[in-house]
Amino acid sequence: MAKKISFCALFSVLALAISYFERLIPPLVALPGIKLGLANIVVLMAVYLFGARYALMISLTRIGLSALLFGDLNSLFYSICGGLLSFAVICLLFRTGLFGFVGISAAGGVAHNTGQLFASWIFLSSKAVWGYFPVLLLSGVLTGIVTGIVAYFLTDRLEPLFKPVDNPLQKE
Amino acid sequence: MVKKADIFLIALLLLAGIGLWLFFSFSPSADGDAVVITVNGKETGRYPLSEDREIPIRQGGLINVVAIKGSAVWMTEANCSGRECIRRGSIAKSGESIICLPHRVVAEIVSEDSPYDAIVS
Repeated sequence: MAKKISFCALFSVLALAISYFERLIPPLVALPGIKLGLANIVVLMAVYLFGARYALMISLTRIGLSALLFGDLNSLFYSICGGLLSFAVICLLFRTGLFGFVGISAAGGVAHNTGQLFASWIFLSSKAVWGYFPVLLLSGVLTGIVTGIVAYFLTDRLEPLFKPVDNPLQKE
Repeated sequence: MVKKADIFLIALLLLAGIGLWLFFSFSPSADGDAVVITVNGKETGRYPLSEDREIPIRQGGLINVVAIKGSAVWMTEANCSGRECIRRGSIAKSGESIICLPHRVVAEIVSEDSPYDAIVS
């Protein structure tokens, strides 16, 4: 238990560092609202390694700290809408057992962008924002595939490290 | 790493995205008649495209300037962080819009027969 919580703290900080790092690199394309969403890698791995409840804590910690350190209330609202929707989709797809990391991550990317578009819809109360939906959908799929592949390889390599976490018989 | 269901899911999402994109970009759109300015979710003005003008939008220190020239609409000035609204360029067709997300300003082209209800210089 204590070990699991320590890992979760580590993952939260890792996710925070990754989001900060992503702010530093210039945008890949000259379209607003499109980024790789690297913090998604951590959430994806957390759902797989620690389960939904812990992953949600990690995601919310990352969002809260990120808004406190680098953002404002507006960006907090956007992050929460995107973060929660993508978290919900990732968990649901994981639970079906049908999908691998890449498919789940692609759907999660789309969900994240959709959540943020939803937030901007609430802010602007103008349906004009939905004209941007196709662009965000396609970019969500592509960035999701990239983060999914990274999450797959990282999990593949790191899983032995985390395996004892859920096993009460194993002495540390 | 990739299961059959993944490929199906990704293909479905890509098809939906491309389909919607084609639908939005090729759906017939008439030339607009007016531009509707919305600030913070409230419509603040409706201006005919037939008349060239500059529309300053001030919210405290937040500044946007929308210009109408030759039946097209631009965001010519904005002191927001990303300036995406300026980079958006000109719009003229019904349904097109310029959005300044940080300032919550939307300029949307409409086409309608009803008389313009707020024409203020």
